[in-house]
Amino acid sequence: MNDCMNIEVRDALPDLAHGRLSRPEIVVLSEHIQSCAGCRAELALLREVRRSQPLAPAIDISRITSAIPPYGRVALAAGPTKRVELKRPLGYAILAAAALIAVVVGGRTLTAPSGVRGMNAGNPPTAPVITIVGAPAPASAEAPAVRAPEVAIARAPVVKKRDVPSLSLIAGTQDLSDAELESLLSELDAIEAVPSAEPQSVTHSIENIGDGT
Amino acid sequence: MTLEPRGDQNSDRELIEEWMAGDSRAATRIVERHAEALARFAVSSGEREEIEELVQDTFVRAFSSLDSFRGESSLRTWLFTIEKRLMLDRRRAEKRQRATVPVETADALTEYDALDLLLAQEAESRVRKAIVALSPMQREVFVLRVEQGMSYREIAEIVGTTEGAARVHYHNAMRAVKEFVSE
Repeated sequence: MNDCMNIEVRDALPDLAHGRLSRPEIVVLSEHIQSCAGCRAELALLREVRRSQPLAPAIDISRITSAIPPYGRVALAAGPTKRVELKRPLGYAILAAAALIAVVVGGRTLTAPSGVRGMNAGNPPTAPVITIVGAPAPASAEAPAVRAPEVAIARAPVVKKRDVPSLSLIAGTQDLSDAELESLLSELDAIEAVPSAEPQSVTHSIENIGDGT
Repeated sequence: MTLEPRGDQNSDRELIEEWMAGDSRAATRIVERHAEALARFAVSSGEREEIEELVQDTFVRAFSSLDSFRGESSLRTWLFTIEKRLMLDRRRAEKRQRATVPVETADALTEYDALDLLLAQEAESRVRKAIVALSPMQREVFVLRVEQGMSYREIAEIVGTTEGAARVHYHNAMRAVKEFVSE
């Protein structure tokens, strides 16, 4: 059987089968179909396709409608998604804050002057005095803290870490005997890299004040 | 050729307004009106399982974004478009699952083929087998045109193509079905 060459009519056949055409269109189409075996066969095939449609599975309408939020709550229903998205930046913020604290505290430990560190009685520093005085503090916080004493010890081999456990001149030297203290002071005097300006200026200003009064 | 407008088009619009005004029964009437057609389209498109979940997801998504529904197409067309996208998402997910679980791939494919065959056998019709044998695009266009009675413009919107291309797909599908049936 040959297909009809009238594409317009063939295009309209599904609409005819669905009853979507106007009365005049139905009349015109019906006249054509009566005289066209191809269109008759095609219309019969279309009706067979419709008859053989697979049965729709049972749908629980009430279950579906109960899943639909009321109009006013539709916007609220989308809320949790946005809140979940906000958790990630908050988590990053907490981590960033923790990292910042670690860097600041670690960096402060490495770069603080000896007097300041010595005042921190709760955390006795482990590096010897010459770490601060003789060797520059590590420029980067990434440098491991344990390396600072090694550099310092290399520059000032006389003072051993276990002999002088503190950087502090106030608290760290309290446990030293007179002989050890004497030795320490003499070693300090022998180190060329010891900056003399800072302690001297403090001393001078005190003396000047004393002289003035 | 001018098509008679579907009688439910204005009613859909009215029901949407009623639902937005707080009448939940309007949503029920919309679901009652379109659920079966959506389920039937899903089955004809090759969906095998969880049809009701698919239809439910379609309605939930549609009602959740009714504000963005501009009414340029009918609600029915819009619902079919949403369902079509959901089916595509499902198929992509199934493909990923099959790709990531190589041990089960053979079983999954065998089961899929068996279901196709079973569906064709259960239909007890050469017409049904002919439709199953069509390419996915041809099958969708053919089903929407013949079973749902949609226009080429509506079909083009749903399957994401042009009106002219939808027409070509339909006639190619019709020729293939005829050849299959006459064999």
